[in-house]
Amino acid sequence: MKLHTLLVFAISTLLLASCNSTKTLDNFYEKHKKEEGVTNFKLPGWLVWIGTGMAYHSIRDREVRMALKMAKKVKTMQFFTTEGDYEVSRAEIDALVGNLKEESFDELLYVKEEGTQVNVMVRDTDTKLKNILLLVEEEGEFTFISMKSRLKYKDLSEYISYYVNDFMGNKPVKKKDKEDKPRA
Amino acid sequence: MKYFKLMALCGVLLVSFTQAQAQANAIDKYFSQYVDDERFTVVYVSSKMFQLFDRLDVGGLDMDEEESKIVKNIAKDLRGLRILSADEDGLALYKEAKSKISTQEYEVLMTVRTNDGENVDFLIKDNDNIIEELLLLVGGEDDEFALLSFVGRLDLNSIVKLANSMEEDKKKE
Repeated sequence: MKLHTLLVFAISTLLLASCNSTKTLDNFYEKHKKEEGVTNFKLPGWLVWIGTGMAYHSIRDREVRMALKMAKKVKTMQFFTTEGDYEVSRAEIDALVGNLKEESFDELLYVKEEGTQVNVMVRDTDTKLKNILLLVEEEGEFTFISMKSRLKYKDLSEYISYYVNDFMGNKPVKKKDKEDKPRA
Repeated sequence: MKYFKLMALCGVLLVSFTQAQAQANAIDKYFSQYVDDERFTVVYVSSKMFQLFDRLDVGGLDMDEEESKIVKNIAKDLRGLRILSADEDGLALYKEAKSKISTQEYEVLMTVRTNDGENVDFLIKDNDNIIEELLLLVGGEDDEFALLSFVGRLDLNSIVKLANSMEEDKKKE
């Protein structure tokens, strides 16, 4: 029994350790995670996969199913947020963004409005998005959500097409059912 | 004498290049100056975002293959979109931004001035048939200000092709 518990613990630790991410983010996460006012967690890929998989099979709503199908492509997820008195300085956030750029992250979008700043960054290959990162700073509170993904551009195209079709009132293109095939 | 001419030519080229650089920096500086100002809303869409469009194959947009190819071609050469807007001091900010725009570099496409004192300027910076920057400047007495800068290489021929293709589709319908 003891060996069994130890084995489960070792596997869980290994899986969590394999979570995410980049050196810059890891350093930032390690530096702040134990501070008071910081909430953080890492979700290993298998947990995301099981969770979204279970939800996918129990939900009938097409839009939610589509979103879950995309969520299944997330390998690991890391969440970090500060609140209360604990503050991450602007200089530190700027340094984080700068270092991420050096680690081949590209800025997709930056929005600043009334004390809220949002950065969306990605790291990709020719065929897929490897990392997706959302950074939000709002009135002294800082949040980041980092996802390691295997989201291919093909999947993203399918996802966007779905919503474009939905928005434009087009009928979704259904894959040919088995019934359509001529029977021998 | 030959060397003197060559040096003079290099000098002229250097001066023109420096002037072009200085102008690009004037708009950049304007953005940098106000990017941290609490009065402003800032939006920056990077070239990476436009490159992503090139990799996506989105259906349902009512475009044929040729149109889709042209749109992707246009998007992949865009280098970024910057928007700066504010809800106060509209007229002062408009005047300040306008003073930084060199009329040698930018050509006015359209100017609108409404009877309630709002100004809209639409300018381009181009090189032959390639538009390098589209600039929209809005500001007036109602305190609203907006500066929109679309940077990249917008090929007029591609835009004309796209317009023609869409026109043909309309005729077919």
